[in-house]
Amino acid sequence: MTLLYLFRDAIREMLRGSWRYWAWICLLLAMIAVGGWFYVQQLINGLVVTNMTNQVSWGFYIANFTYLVGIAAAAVMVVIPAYIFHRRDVKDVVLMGEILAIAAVTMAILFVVVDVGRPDRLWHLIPGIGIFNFPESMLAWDVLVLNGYLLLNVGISFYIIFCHYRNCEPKLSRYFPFVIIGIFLAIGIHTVTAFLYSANTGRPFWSNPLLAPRFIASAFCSGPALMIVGLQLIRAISRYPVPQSVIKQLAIIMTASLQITLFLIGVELFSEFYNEGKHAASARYLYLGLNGHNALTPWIWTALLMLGAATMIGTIHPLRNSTFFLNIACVLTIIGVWIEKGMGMVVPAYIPSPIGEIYEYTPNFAEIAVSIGIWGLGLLLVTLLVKAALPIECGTLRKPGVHPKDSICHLANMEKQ
Amino acid sequence: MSNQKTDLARRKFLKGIASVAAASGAAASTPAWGGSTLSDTFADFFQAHYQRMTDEEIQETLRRIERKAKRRYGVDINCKDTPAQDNVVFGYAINISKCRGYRDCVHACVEENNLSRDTQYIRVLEMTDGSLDLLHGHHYYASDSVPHEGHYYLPMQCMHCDEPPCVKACPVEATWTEPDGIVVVDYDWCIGCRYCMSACPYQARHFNWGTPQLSGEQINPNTHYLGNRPRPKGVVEKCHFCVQRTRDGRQPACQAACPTGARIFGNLLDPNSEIRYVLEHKAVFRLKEELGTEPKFWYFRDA
Amino acid sequence: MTRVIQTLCACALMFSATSPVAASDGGGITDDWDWGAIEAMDDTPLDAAEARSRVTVSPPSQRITNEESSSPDLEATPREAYTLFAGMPSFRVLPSRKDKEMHPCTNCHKWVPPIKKTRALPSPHNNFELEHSLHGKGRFWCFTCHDDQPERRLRTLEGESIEFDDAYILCSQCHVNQARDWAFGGHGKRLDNWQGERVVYNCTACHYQHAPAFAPREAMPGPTMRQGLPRPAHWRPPSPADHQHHETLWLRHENNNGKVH
Repeated sequence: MTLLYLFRDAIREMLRGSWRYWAWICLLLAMIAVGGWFYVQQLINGLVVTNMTNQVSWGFYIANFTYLVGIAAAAVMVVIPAYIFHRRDVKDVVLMGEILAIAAVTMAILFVVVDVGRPDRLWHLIPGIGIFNFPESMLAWDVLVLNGYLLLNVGISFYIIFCHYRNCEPKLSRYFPFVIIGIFLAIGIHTVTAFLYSANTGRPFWSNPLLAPRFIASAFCSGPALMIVGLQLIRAISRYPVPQSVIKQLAIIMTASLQITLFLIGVELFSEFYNEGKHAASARYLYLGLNGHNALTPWIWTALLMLGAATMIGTIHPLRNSTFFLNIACVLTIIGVWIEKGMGMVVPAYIPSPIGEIYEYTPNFAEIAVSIGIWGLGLLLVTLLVKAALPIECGTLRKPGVHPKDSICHLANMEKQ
Repeated sequence: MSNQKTDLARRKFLKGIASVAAASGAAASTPAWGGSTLSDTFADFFQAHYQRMTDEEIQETLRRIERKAKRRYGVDINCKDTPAQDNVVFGYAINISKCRGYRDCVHACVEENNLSRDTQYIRVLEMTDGSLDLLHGHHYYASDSVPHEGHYYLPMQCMHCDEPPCVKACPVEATWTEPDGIVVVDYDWCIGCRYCMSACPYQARHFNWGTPQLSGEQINPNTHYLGNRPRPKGVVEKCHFCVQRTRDGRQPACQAACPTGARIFGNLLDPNSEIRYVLEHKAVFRLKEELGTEPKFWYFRDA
Repeated sequence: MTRVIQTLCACALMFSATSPVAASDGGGITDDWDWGAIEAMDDTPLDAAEARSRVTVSPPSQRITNEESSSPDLEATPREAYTLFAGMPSFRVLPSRKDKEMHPCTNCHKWVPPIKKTRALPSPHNNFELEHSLHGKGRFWCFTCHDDQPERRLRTLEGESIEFDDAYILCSQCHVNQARDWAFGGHGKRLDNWQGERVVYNCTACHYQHAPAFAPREAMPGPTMRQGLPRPAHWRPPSPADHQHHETLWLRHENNNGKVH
């Protein structure tokens, strides 16, 4: 019963807001509509509407998928300090981190669904009525861990919200095991996604043991970066008390991960190019161009410059502690990792093809539109969930019969250092 | 794999749904759904994996495929599911001293196997003499006077590996190795995720990005469920050693088309076969052997 | 038509008739034949090169009697292969088509004795150049392989008469490696089945006996772009420029004047 009240109140919250809120929602709906229309075209005509070919069979959709799995994995970056190191300040923002994770995993799954040639046959994956090639197929592993992670995050967040709604403290003993599983799954989703690529020995650009560590390292740059920006937004808009120490913590994690990421990229460049053999053809295509084909080289070098700049900002203490520079570093990281892990990791493995054919791939408008639609959907999910969760977390929304507390979100002048 | 009970339960479930759908309407046989009848569309949707269907279900499926082809292309085709013969494992060898880059094999395959006219299972690479560097092979070499001076030719198609990375990669087991060594695809089970295409080191797998470009006059009516029956869009396909021909003892279309006799096909388990003679007496090699894929496709030179 | 040719043949040969030849016996290629010069029908001695230049070159694909000349005769009954090698599997050989007008030879040469002097032959035997590799250029000529007996078949180096349909015996006399491979299955082509009875093509089905090397021909069209995708702006057909990034090793040394190391 309380559940129904929760849903009612949550939906009421989502439909209530200033004109700015509604403008944002309208923008997101417009993005979703555009994406939806192009996806319908894709459903009718098939994937011919994209620029993918037999040579480059995975493109923009899977690039976005890879990036988003990394974002989702990074939610664990708030979970570990909160629950393992018992940092009280971080515990308050765990929920936001998990909402981000839920949206990211949902977007990732949606990117796979739009990429698949026969979405009407996705039920073939369901074990029992379909055939689930687990544990042989890495894609089956990925389906399993992604859905598991999604369920877990939905479960834990929902439990916390529900408890707060009923004005009681969530019982740690009840959900702590799931938190631990969640931590392993967070590392797991991104490692399994990396294995998806590194399992392919026929593609030397992917088939190296460093791929999984690189994925985790770059995930722990972009995830915290997004969270820093997101948490500052939430704090500004709703006055939700995000302690500055949390921002600082995330900034340090982001910086350390950036340093590790750059180191790993450097290590890879050495291995590829010192004694350059044919296995380095894809790396040469990406960084230097191959036989006059160099569509991706400006992108990757821009990404590396962005990451380098972000690392420098992060490494220099005064800069990292300055809000302005920190936000610049975050934006640079978000975009830089998106390029480097998305188009800069997925596409070059197909160029040249395993038997030497070069087809340069760039996404066309249809693919970009559908991707924008999915990003819109994810942002909408984040917006709606945060909109509904905030009053509960702030203390102003409680179940009928319970007197709401004074809102902690109206406490102005949160410690800003 | 699931046990008997689950198998039976699932089959009953699917059959139940299908029969409800079929029963729901004299409208069932009225063409709808872009040309297909309602019952056919439902049966299509709920069709089980080839290896899980009973003989009766397979026959129903074959008839349904024939009906669909009639509706779509106006052609009467015959779709069969000849099983693999016992004691047969197919192997292929190409004599690169003899291949002159004519591409007769490529186009014979296209016609025999009802390929969309923008797809070819066979890719002939023009290689520079003295080098086996696949990365510098030419795919789009000019068609005038072949062979070109200073080059030799390497036709490539699905290698039908004994340790196929594509079979491991498929999340729904839509591709598997048959007992006679042919790696096949169940086109009605494939979900089109294209992970197998990423896994294949030989660029042997092809995707139907759109509806296959094929017309009624071009269709070869002698088809096999796992082979050259008309395919839908959104699924992966590849060379299947002309399963509709080879399981009846005939040569694959590429071998039959080659004017120089560069292609040798046969049963690896028959010690008197031509393929065994070649493998035992010629200096044969396979491509990308270091990947451990164990392809059943060899190359050799005379003497 | 046949009558006209027969008459012409008879006249031509009567003009060029010299001494009646003794019955051909065993013995090698060099018996009886005058290897010095090839004489034309007007008695002017020609050397081998000039004789060659006098005839029109006609690649196998454009032979005048295209329909009738040697390509596989799919209507014919395959013949059991003679055992050429120990351990050879048993198989049957599909005969090749034979030039209807020129075969059997007795169509024209019924009453005319053979003349074993090496010379360039007149029409209709000049519709090809004997390009049998090293053995052309005046060293091989018609009676190297053709029999000069009344039955006019082929003959082996040992003088044995064999059918046109068993031409593979002739070829295998010199081309032993190819013949062994052909017998066991590594050369040539097997007809449309891999299982069951083995029938293979005769040598002459692919290698036109008078000019066995395969001439260059046009290839069929190359790979296509995926449907719905125009050639991308950056695509260009392969050009010699593409080769420059991949020089063969010795070219690299030559082009760099020994300054590679």
